Amino acid sequence: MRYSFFPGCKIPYFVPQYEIATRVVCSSLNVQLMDVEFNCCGYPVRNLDFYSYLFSAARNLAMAEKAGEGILTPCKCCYGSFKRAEHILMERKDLKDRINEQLAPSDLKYEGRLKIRHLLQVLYHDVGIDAIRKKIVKPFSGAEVAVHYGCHALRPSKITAFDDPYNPTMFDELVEATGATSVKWPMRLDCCGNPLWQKNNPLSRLLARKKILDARQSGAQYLCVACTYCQIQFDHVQQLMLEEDEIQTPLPSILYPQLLGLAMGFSAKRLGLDTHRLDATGIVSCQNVPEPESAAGKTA
Amino acid sequence: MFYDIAFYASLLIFFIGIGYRFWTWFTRRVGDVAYEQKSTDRIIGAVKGLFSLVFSLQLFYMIKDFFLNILFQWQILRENSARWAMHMLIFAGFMLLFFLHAIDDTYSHPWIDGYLSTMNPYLFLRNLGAFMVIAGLVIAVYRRMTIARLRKLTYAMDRYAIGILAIIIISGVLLEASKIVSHRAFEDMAQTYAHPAMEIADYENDPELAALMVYWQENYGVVFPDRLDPDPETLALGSELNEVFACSSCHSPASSAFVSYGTAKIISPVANTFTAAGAATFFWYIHVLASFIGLAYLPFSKFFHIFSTPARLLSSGRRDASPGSLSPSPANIATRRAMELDACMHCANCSLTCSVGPVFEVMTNPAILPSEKMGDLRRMVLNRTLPTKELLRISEGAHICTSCNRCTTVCPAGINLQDLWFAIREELARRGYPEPYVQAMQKALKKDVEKSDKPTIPHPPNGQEMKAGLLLSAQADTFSNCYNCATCTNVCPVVACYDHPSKELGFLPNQIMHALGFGLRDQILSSRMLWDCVTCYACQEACPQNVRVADILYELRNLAYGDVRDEEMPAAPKDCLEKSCA
Ligand code: SF4
Ligand code: SF4
Ligand code: SF4
Ligand code: SF4
Repeated sequence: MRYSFFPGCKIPYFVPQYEIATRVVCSSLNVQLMDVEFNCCGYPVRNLDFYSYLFSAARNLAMAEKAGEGILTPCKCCYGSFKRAEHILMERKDLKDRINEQLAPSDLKYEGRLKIRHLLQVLYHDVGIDAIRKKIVKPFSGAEVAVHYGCHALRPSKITAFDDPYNPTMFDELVEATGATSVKWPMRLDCCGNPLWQKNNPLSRLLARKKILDARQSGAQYLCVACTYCQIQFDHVQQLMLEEDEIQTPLPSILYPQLLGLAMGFSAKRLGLDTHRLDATGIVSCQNVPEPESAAGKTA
Repeated sequence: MFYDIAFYASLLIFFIGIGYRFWTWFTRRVGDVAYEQKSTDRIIGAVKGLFSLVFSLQLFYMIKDFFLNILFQWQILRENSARWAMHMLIFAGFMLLFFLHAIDDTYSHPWIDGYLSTMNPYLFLRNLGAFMVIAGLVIAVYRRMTIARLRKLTYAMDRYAIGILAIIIISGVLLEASKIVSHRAFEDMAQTYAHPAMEIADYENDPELAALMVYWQENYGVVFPDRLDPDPETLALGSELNEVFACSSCHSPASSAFVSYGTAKIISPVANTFTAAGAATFFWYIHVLASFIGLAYLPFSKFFHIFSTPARLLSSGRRDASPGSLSPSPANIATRRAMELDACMHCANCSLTCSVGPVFEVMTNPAILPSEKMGDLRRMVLNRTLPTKELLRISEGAHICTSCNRCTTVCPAGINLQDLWFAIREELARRGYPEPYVQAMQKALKKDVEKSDKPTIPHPPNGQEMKAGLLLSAQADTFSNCYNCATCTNVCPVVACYDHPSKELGFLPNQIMHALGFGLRDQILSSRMLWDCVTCYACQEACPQNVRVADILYELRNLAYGDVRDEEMPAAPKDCLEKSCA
């Protein structure tokens, strides 16, 4: 499997460990990631100017088409941004023509035949749960993890086609494949609040706080996310909330490829787990000491 | 006399200018930290920092930086070989000219044994230097003209930099060429050096002098008023005399001055007119004046980067550009930021790779691009009272930047742009310019709906106008299908945060969709709901009528921001909303 890798703007500076962990697990699961010099997916500017958003997104899609493979992003907002652009450009031929006209000087053209994938989809559909299970050498046991689905990949499902919008299971299955327990919690499909960060901070925090409290009440020890912005919200912003006493006990957040990577036997350091603002390294204590014969049986 | 006065005057301006710019590194305030630091603290901090730098392992990195990134420009080579060639040609060529020509009285004569400007290798090297600078300038002009974005970002300061160098070098070449072709110059030299040796009485008709003239016409490119006949015998005699009179011990063959000699050949048909008009003197004045102007203006032009960029690179190199590296003291951060404003040479490398480049293509606000934000930040720091229009434009650019860190990794000056982008937002916030989103919100919320001219419910209800403004995203006009079931409002997590949502949020999602049918623009845009929407798409997912609720809210915010642009930034490039609807 080969994909053009689209890290998105926030990963390089704010969440570099996400890219590191993604590359580690992808390469050991035979998902090849190609580097293309992409631009911003357009999501951040969508509130200001629709056409700027659409042009930015389409330009990336055109570049990925040129590179000849599908596009893989670990960020749910980038994913949603691309899927929406794909949809709009399919519906609106006039906009597509206009954009292609503007792309022509850079020798790019968007045709509309690109595979757009989120990291979780590639792991779930392309690699497959069984193949993942085979790679697990240090499964978790007794790790209570609250899976956060993230809005922009999940909804609107007609456009994003990610999973069942009301009863998604993909992320839960992927987490359980590592041996961790995916706890049931009422607010798992709600928003993390990050889209309002820097726009209305109190409300953004309130939404995050509700979720964090709900997850903890449901027995979670860790949050598990697969989106750059969700991680920023649950790591950076949660830390601010702790400092200002808005919440008392931290609920550290872990990125899915880190969880998977740990279970596949990679060290916490290699996966950048030690770089989080809220220490999530404790989760390794839930890992079984590797027992070569029984490890495979346990995760089944 | 003229020369001395002009030289010392420009040197004085140069030193005052340099001193002034160094001083500003400790006085200019960029970003919040700078406001808590006194200039004296900053100077002390810098001195301390310098000491600890010199007496630590960092010294090793400093030396490495000096060779790798300052002399050799490894960073540029990695990014772009054409740009590297341009930089190295201009830099090395100019250094050759500087040491072997411009300051040859103070450097070459005392330091190089047997130095003579008219002899090889110096004659050749000087021309090589000129050739290199010209080649570098050609690459620079070519890049600035052919790379579309670079062309857009080329301003007077960039043209000045290329122009003044070109004038200095070309006038120098023409000066040398007009000396080569000048028969007057030949006669002067002959009178001074050859005559005493020859003891000629009859200057006009001396056969030996005639032979020497023929020889110089053929071998040194001198053009005499009447072309002399180069018969082999005379030429042989001329060659002999060239040795006897020791001309050749001071003059290498003119052809080794390959640039000037080539130019001399080109101008030879009109050489006598040149000579008669005193072209050599004319070009000398141009050359000297341009050089002095360049020198005096250097501290204020982009050439200041020959000091500021190395200073920036040596102070901490690229080492603090990476996240997680050791953080210097607040005083030194303040100084570093001020220094960085000067270290940018507007190469626009950063803008060629900027992640939000495509947004710039659409919105055409240059402040979106990093190289231009550098200039804007500089202007903001220098001028505390920029007009609203300008600040809004800068704010738009500063906030559209996604802090992706890419510009920082490519900047050859090692500027920590990422950090400056935090500073520019702090500077804007200080002056009351928050995120454009917040600006649009504040403007929309201020609308006094009660007093608006329109009746609250227009008669007849007319949503056509709103529809026309919302034609962008797929089927934004689906609001017409809303039958006001309020499902959207019931699933909205923001609505759920309030006990009295209508009081706090104004129109709720279902009401907004419904009000759109009536075209109640002001009431909708001034509803807090629109601005507190967290874009979770729960509403859109749940709507039984397939109304694209969340997408429509996005577009309504676009409309509100369009108002800010239209009203507050009339000079700003036209909003693209219009373009794509056309
Ligand atoms: S940090 Fe901002 S200015 Fe720099 S490349 Fe990224 S988007 Fe462009
Ligand atoms: S910030 Fe750096 S890369 Fe950008 S124009 Fe200035 S010197 Fe060049
Ligand atoms: S859910 Fe749909 S139909 Fe119902 S009020 Fe909202 S927009 Fe209208
Ligand atoms: S997208 Fe906005 S309006 Fe819709 S449910 Fe989410 S927060 Fe509410």
